[in-house]
Amino acid sequence: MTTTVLNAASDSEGSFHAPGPGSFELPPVFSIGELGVTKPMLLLMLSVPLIVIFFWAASKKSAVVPGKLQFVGEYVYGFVRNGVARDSIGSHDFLKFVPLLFTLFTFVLVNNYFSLIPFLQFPSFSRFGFVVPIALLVWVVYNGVGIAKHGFGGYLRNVCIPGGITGPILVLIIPLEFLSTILVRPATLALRLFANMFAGHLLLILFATGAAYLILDSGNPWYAPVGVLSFFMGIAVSFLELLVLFLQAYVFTLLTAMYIGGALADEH
Amino acid sequence: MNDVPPPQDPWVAFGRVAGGVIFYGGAGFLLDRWWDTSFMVAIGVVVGAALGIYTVAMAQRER
Repeated sequence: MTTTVLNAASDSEGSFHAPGPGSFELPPVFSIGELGVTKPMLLLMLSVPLIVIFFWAASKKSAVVPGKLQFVGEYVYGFVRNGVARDSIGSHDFLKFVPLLFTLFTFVLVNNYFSLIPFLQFPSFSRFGFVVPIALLVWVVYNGVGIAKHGFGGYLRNVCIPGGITGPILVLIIPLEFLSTILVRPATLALRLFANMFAGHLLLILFATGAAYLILDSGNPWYAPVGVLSFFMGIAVSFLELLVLFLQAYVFTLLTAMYIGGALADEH
Repeated sequence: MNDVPPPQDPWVAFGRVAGGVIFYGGAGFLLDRWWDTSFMVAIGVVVGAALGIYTVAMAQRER
């Protein structure tokens, strides 16, 4: 990955090509018939066995006094179960949704951290096509849960009529509130994850290729100190990304839990 | 186990304003197409945003 980007950055005799959306359209690693299998696809498929093996190993020897691995596994599970699911859905029916939320959290988290692991170095969810299915899944779940609890008409009433408003102005508010819950929610959920992964990775590519170009290929030794600065900016942004990658996985799971909790709530 | 009411989606305010802008802006856009004017979309966007903010304020007061 790094080498291809570096080549792309300095292919035509010393002119620098800034990275852009094209930097995310990687050539297929190999092809199965017509289908080109790209790096993000492989990363996505790698993430699932990684998660399964980790939590299998963590729960294999369940001891009363947990070992290190079991402690980490239980800590992550407890974080999603208590910190996200119970606090957002309420202690009455949160337990049903813990498997979904836990899977979402670990899946997004591992795929995000691929962004910083050497040689992998690509966040799968910087491709919008991978974010849309999980956002749609969340959409189906929270609407389905609401309809199952309140019936179709009852759920529609809950969705369309916000608390605190009475009188004729309600007619103007209903379509707005409907769009807000049905359309804006899944769109922002998907865009937030995608845009954060995309922008963070773009920034890293920019600083890395910028440093390489300024130090190695620019042909002007006076540019080298700026290249060093660019290099250290890249390191600094990597540390920022450490935080962002976790936060986005957390926010995605937390909002999913809040949508489910909102759909289950009785009245506004 | 404490049974405090679950916290509300913090993005609900954004959703309401955006929903208002989409719906009333869209309505204004269609009216523009119909009447061959060009200002209804602007009015729609402003009205939609205002209604969104109004909804946020009233829902907040209710809590």
